Amino acid sequence: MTSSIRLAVILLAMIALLALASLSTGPTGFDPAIWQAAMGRTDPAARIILTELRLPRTLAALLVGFALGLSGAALQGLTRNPLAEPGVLGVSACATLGATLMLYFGIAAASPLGVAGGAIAGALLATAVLAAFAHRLTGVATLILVGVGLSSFAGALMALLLNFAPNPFSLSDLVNWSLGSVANRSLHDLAYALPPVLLGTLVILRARSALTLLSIGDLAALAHGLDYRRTRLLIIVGTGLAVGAAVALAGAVGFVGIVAPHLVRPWVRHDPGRALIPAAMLGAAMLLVADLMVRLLPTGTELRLGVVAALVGAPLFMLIAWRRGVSAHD
Amino acid sequence: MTRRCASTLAALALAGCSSTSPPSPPVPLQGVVSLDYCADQMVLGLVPRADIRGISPEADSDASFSTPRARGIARVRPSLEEIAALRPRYAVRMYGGAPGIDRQLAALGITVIQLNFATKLADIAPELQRVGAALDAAPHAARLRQDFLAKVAAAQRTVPNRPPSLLYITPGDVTTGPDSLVGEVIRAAGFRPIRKETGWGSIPVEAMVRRPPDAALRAFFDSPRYRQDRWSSSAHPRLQQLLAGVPAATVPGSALGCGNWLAGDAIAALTRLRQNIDTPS
Amino acid sequence: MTDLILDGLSVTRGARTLLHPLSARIGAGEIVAVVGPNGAGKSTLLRAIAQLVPIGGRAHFGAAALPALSPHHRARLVGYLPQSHQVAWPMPVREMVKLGFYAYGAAGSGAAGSADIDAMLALCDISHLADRSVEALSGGELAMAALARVLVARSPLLLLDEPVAALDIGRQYQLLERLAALAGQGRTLLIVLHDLGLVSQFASRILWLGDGHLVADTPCNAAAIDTHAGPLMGRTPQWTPDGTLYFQR
Repeated sequence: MTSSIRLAVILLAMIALLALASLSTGPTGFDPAIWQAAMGRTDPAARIILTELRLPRTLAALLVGFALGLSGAALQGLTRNPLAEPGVLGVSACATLGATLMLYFGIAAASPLGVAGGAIAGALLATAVLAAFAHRLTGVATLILVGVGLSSFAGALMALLLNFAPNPFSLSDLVNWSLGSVANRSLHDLAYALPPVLLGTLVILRARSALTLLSIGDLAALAHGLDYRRTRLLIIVGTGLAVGAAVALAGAVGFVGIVAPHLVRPWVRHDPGRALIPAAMLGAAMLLVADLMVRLLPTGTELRLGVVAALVGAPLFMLIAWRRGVSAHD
Repeated sequence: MTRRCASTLAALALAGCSSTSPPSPPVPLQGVVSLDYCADQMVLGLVPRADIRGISPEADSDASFSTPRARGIARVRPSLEEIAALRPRYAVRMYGGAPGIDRQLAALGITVIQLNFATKLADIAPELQRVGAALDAAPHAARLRQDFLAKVAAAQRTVPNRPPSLLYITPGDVTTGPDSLVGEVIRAAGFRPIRKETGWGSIPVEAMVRRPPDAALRAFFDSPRYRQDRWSSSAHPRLQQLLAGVPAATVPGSALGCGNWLAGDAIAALTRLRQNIDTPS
Repeated sequence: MTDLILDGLSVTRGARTLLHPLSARIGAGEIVAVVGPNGAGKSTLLRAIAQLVPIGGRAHFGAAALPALSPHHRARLVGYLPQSHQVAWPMPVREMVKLGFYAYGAAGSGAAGSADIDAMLALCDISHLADRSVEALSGGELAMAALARVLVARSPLLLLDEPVAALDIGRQYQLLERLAALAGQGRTLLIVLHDLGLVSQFASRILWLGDGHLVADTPCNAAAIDTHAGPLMGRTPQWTPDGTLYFQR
């Protein structure tokens, strides 16, 4: 047990440090002087900048990374597939579709509640489809293909729907959603994302021992007392809530859900149930790093978060796939 | 592929009409069609209603200028077949239609007038004159030109020594420096854009929290057409709170969207704003 | 001490009957071999008792009707070892064996649970593999690890589908001896075995299955084997002078 606690402490320390760095970074770069200005009460603007501009951004990166890391670990546990994650499996795309539908049909107008609701509904639909397939499939590749199908379908529907919107810039809006960002978030936006992520986390955690048990195969797991229906439902609902809220807050950021669980697994003895919270925490840390890079890299306009995530994550994804192809089982 | 077939067929059809059937004389090309939002403005501004054969569907998203003037005029999608069917003499475009549509239209004998987006304030008047002449609407163009130059002159009369700072804000996530057309509009009206670097860049929210701008120019907030980025910094509650206390002028998107004489409206609005600021508070 | 009572137990899938109605009563401490050619329904019978497929008829363990139990409750009574083994993640053997305690909640993490795991690893002769990743095991070693997992929860009824198939002869005998000892403690064993030689040495009773039917339910003795082995297996059983069974080439 102490190894789990040690891991949690290390990850918590990482997150705290990165959050501090994130709060100390402004549009002009690393700017630790802001802390002095805020503490000294000489500069009221400093406090506003920290609490209303930088803090929501930092918390958003943390929350989204947490949700995506957790959902990736949960989906990998359910499907027994280390390549499963919300982006690859089309959950993020369906969530984006749901959010965009709400926006463009005016249901959401300015309210984050409608957008979050739409995104969660889209995510739940996708996870339900995937869970139905996961029960029947044993192959690694086929599930990914189902996800690709879901992703493509959602993307096509989005393009169709944006075609009806009277807005020549709608395609760029679509790109923004598909690449993800935590810039310019407010505490108001966070308030709508936090409850579904928390609820989703609690729901997923109830299935943690079942996820470990699933490692030995459906038949053996059932024999040892697994309630497959309940487990599947918990994972569907939990990841739907968490991913939906994350996408509503930041758009579709990919690959965190693959990389975080993968890096964490050796430290939890490859137990998919034990990997859940550490993967979530590492996901939070990773997204904090990505958002720091987005702000510190010397590009003209700010790089999108999803771009950085994909630049690191996609090669890792391919590496994992390659290694699996080489090893005995598939 | 289908466009090529259609254009070939149309060309053949038109050619056939004129060469292989001697009894009926060719139908003369008449009137003006516009292919996009900016062309709509130009056409609705310069050409008498009776001569307008069709305007693009984008006119419906410009409530402030094009939509009221376009009531009762047919909408034409900027495709070769639809335009050719109307047999116009002139087709005005800035960006509408597929690439190469200008060549295809020219091949059908339609005169294509290509609009240029003015990047400098000084380009607006000559462009207006050129297009007016091409459309046989020189007198009307001259009137609009006079009006525009008058507004610029009015602004220039009272340029202060130390121009107040102005934030140019749109639903998008960026603001302009001094060198774009909008930047020149701002400077012509006696303001200084809050962004010092050239080109377009992120709205400097943190800098403005420290030191709010003296004024603001809000543009493109009049139509859902311009809603571009849900997470634009212009939507951030802190920025909106900040700007609530700052004197602002508002112009519709039509004023600055196409780099034409309507920019004069923006200059006029800014001139009024500066006068309001300058009068003792 | 409880009896396993099967009354008209059957399994159908769509129009096909995989197991025709079958009745038997098996007492505590019995070692029952389930024997028959491939496709006779041996695995299906075990799965049916374990409630892993929907059944017709009745299956009781003592007073409890097995289909009516919750998955957890049923798993505490019935231990099932499948024919093939897989582990999706390269976890240590000890962790995999600990999964046997799933139906007991946190019982596996205590000291008592740890002792049980050690005992079963020893019984299956894989104590030296406790910290090795399951990915690194051979087929036989993985089978033993799976068996240890099923045994660790001490369920009173054990259904083992070909537990010794991947082992060498010496290990087969050793393991069956140890399993027989478990039966001696009052646990009931149903084992699918292909090797009639092993059956003749360790089972107390034989369920002969053919084509989804229970062909015969006999005690395990030479007469029964002589009667049923030939027709079912297609080969005549022969006996050595010291009572060992073999089949002529």
